Amino acid sequence: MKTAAAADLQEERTNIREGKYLTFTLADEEYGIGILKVKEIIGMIAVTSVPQTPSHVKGVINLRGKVIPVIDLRLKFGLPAMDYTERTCIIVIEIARNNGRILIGILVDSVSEVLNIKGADIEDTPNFGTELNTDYILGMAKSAGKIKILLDIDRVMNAEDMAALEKTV
Amino acid sequence: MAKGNTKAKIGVSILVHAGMVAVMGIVAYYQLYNVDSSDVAAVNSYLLITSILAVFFIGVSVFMGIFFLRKVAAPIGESMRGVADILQNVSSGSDQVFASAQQLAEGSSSQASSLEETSSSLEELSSMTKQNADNASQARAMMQDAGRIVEKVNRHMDDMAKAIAEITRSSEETGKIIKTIDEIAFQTNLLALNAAVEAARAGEAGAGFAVVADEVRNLAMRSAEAAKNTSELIENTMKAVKNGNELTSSTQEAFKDNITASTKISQLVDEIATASQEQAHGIAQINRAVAEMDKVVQQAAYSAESSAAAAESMNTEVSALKKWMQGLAELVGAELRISSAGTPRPAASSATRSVAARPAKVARQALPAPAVKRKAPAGAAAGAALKKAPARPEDVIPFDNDEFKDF
Repeated sequence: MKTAAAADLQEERTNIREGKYLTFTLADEEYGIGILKVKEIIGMIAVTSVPQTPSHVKGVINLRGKVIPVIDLRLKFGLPAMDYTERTCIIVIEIARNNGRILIGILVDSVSEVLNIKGADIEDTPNFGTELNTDYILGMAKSAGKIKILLDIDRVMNAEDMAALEKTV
Repeated sequence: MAKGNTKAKIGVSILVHAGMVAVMGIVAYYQLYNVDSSDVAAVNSYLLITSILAVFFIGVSVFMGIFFLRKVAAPIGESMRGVADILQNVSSGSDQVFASAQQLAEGSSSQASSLEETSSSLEELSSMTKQNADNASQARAMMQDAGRIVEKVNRHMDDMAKAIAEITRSSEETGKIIKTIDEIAFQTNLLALNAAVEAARAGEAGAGFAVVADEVRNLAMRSAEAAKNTSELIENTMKAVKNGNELTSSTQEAFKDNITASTKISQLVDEIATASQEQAHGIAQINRAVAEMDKVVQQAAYSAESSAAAAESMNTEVSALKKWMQGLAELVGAELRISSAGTPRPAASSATRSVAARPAKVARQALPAPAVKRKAPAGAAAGAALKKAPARPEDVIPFDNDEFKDF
């Protein structure tokens, strides 16, 4: 029973995680975001920087009249910063919050494709030790000999950030 | 004895003789007039006296004649001895003159041979200089040709540089266009992704749209691929063009160096040509000087020849004079010491002949080969001429008029 329950749970988890993901590259690594979280993908445009914000908060952009905050995911993940190329894109994601859904733009190195990932290809995150918090990783997807890290974008944007971001907006 | 004295004495003796003859005549006439022819004794005595007187007077005359003759002969003899000595001196003097003339002739001969050598060396020098000048002018012409070729090459290089610049420009423009295409492909990709997102949000209704989005994305990928390939090709072209440019400029550099070297060579060749010209002038001058020298040598030889001939004739005259003197001395009864005239010299003349006979042709095209042949026959002719008594220079030196034409 327990195993069945566990298996059911597992299946559920798998079912939840199965679906289409938008893959993008960040520092030579491929990541994926569930496509339902993605609102829009745009190329690099002028970012207006806002003072007194954390370094990974690049600023805000004007997207068809709407002001959207932009975060550099590299700096957020603690990766070394890189100059923007013509392939740099801003992925506008929609996150559910207490007071509704808000739009955030994240800067990525390049956008790859929309992948339909089967549940069987998703593995759980391995345990690197207790210190590291890997909640924000949904799982690891295997495709074409490479591993794509599936992000739980809600957890990536934690509460601190949200507070800061709300201030800017 | 002084001349005046001798003349006076002779005058006196003649007068005395005349006086005596006159006296004798008067006495004889008187006697003859006064005497009777029948008186034989008186006639006999008269004849006797007359004969004695005549004998006496004749004896006196003879004695005086001999006395005066002796008195005159001694001075004559002395004078003749003096003249004989002078003749001896003259003879030896003319021998000296002859020896000097011979030396002069020999000197002229060696000088003439040196001149010939000099002239032949000058011939060689002149021909080499001419060769040099010809080569220099040839080299100059070739340098000019080379210069023209280099100019042509330079023009072509410029054209090539222009063509390469053209290619570069076209490549750059093509590159811009490719960049535009690449951008379009990228945007199309984003568009396709957005379409896929919307299709996913649409759920079931958006399934077909998702397929369309996928296809659009594929097209965008293909576009991007093609653009990438083209841009690679353009890069290769640009590299090749850059290479070509570098080669062109290095070739131009090399040709510039070539031009510099050519210019220098041209200058040097010009200098060589000018120097050769001056050399030729100098040689011509030397030639003229040598010709003059040759003339002078010829003249000297001729003069030596004349001197020798004159000395010879003088010697001959002196010999004749000595013979006469000998006769006169015998007549007067004086002893003359006269040595035989002259030194043997038939061979010496041949040297002078050869000098005169050799026509040294200076500053002519061919070396004077036939000149040497004249020496032998001239010498033989000279030897024969020497033995004749009065030898005139014109006979001795075999200069014909037609030989003078060459000069």
